[in-house]
Amino acid sequence: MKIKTYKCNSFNVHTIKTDKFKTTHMEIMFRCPVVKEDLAKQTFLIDMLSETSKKYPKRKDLIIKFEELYKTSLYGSNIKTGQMLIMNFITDFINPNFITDKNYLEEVIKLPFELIERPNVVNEEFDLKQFNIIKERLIKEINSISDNPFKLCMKKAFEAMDKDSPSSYSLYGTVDELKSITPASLYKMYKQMLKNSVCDIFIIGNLDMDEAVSLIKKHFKYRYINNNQIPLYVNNKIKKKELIINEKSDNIQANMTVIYNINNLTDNEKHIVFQVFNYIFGNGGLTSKLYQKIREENSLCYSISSMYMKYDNLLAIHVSLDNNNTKKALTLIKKCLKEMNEGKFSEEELNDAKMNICMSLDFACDNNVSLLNNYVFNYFDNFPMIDERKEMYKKVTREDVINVSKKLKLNTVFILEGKGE
Amino acid sequence: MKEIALEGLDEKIYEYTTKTGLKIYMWVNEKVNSCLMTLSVKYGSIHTKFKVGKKTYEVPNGVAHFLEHIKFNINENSTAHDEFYKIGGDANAFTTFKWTSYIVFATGNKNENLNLLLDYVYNPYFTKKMINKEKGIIIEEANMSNDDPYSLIFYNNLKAVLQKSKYRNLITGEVEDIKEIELDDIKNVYDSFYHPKNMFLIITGNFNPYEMAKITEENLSKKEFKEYIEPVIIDETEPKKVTVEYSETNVNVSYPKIKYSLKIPLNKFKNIENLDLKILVRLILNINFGPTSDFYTELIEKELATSLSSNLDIYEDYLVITISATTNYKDEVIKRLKEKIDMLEISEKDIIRKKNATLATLILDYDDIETVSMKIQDDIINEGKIITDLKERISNIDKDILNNVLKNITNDNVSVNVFMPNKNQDN
Repeated sequence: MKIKTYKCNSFNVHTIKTDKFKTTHMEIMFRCPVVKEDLAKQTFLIDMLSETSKKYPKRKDLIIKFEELYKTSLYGSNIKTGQMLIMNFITDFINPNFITDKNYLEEVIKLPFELIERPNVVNEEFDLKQFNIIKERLIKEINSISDNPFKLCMKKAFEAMDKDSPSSYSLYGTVDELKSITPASLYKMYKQMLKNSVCDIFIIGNLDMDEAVSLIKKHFKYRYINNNQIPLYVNNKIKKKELIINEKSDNIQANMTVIYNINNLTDNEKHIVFQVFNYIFGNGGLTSKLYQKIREENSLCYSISSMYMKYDNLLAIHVSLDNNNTKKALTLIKKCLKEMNEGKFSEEELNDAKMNICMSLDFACDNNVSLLNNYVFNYFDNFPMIDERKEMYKKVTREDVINVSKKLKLNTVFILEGKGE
Repeated sequence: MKEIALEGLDEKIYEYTTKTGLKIYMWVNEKVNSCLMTLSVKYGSIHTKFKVGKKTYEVPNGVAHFLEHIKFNINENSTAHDEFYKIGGDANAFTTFKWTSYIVFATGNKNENLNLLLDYVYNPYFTKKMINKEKGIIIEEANMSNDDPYSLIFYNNLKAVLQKSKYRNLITGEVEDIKEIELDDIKNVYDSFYHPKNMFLIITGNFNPYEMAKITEENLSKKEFKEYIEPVIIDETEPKKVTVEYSETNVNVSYPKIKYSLKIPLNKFKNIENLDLKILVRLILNINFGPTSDFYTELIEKELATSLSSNLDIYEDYLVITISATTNYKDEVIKRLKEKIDMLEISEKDIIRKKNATLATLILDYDDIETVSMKIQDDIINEGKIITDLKERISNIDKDILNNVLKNITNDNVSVNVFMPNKNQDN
């Protein structure tokens, strides 16, 4: 595996050459700080750019092109990482050594830039027809969140915690925000994306990377140079007393989301120690404290897990269960954390957690997207590379884990009540 | 050890049959670190009625899945998860309509992980106490499915198409079924079906196939297996007609959804193997209803629907094709679907483009250890063997073959099911 970065003035290309996989994965990222009012437009924009263009106005035209390029897939996806928004154009394609067509590599690399640089725009306005199709679909997507009790409960919990925190912003915005977007205002957002974002391209695959980069330079004429540092971490406010909210729903089960703040972690704690804590506490699957206590000992639920939201300095726990059991489950969750504070876990549990985390890192090395992501966050946030992390995990002690467990403070409990069978 | 070559793909599968009758299928990829081991039993949620000798047994719905859950108990104090955790194995299991699989991912201690997988699956330890404990958990799992509108729609649609088939039932069973399950049901199913002759092991990833075969052989030689009693599954005879031709149901969705299903007897497709039939129908659906079709484009461009997709499956002796749409104009979309089914078409240009793309990318099926494992499971369960000539089967497709299939896809036996938002939902 060979990593190399090419500086191309207005953007960088980061390449990982490896023959481990039969496909190549490329991400073109435009990054900027999260601004609540812009999110709905940015989500609209990424769909608009990745689904239609001057040359391929209809979805059908683009899919035919994908088929001609041997089932290439190309899609846009926005990701909110703490305070940073990443507008990401992702392309997956079969490695050129399997394809006899000589122009294949150039054709496939050209495609995302064709879409980004030549959008479906007339007189500084996006094409109204395609605009309306995507708008209608996005409105439905916003409203459809209530189809999924888990997602709905999570969303409501973060909004209840602090609606002004970037951690609670929705990437889709609201229906009203979406309705107020026009083809002209969307075009302004497009210009803003090109002008104000920092652009990086990441590729992992079995390619001649010098050739790939020269093809990118040939087809990507991006001219804006931005080197602004974009802050990542959100410092969410701490509540003196936790907020507990109950809301009624039509579901059979109750859904409960419990949010904790995580305070003042050091770099080693946020990258390494907290992962070990969380593995033992609630994210280690079927052996975690939460799972053992709430599912195995008390049969209260099918699954429960805790999610470490590193860039939000938050830990969120979610469980679906019978309405009558929410109080009991909350008491047990608190009890599990108290036991972690008191060091009630064995040396064996600690070592097993470290070993299993290292094993999951070995798995990550077998997946091109995980490998690439690891490098991406090494570049954005000095997140240590996989081999380095394995060594760091080995050094984690009991005291380290107890210490981070004491840095948690309960913030919000949100219960979406069920009405029973 | 047999080596099965996959024609035109430069890949091979190792096949080994142990003395106990357990077959092992192995695919080696030396470029990755990990390996995935899957021990499967040809017993799933639909196999609730069976015969051993002259005696007929009937167990409650959901037994296959219930057994999968409690199989993880090794003894009073320990579960398979605890043991895998100690040696760095990531274990899980799943139950489908037709089979149940116990899986473990490992990057190190591969031999130990394989031994543990065989040890715990072939350890018949079941108690009343664990059954009672597990009932609470599985009832919550079934309730989760019933709160998921997509799962509800899927099963409601199957019920509307199939009158008697066991495919109508939730894999977990309904809450009432789960409450009924007893220790004897579990033991009965385990003793009848969990025999090496009714099971198969798949290993994919980085390992030595000869070593793995040897470990399996040695492990099983230390275990005692009774003679396989060869239970025979008793299927319900599924009537030709769909259950209901039209229904409207209120569920917890934000926008109306349509399922337009065709139920076609397999005997209409003479001289076509089920595997080929699935490939051909998938291509026909893709050409007529996929994003490159005029039908799809018009529905979306005229904003008559926001999503349109199609799928197919074989249930009992029937091919069931389902077209799904999200729409606010249900009557118009249903009318157009009906018209479209009456005049399905295929162009040479579409066939060539889609065929070429599929042929060039067939090698991508052999890249990821999970995909390959699933592919082998699918082959063994549905075809009874590893399919070695997929490339040839696809190369052979032409317009005449497709037309021959297409003429049997008609509106003769249709079930249209509409799922409307609950009344209190207002968007």
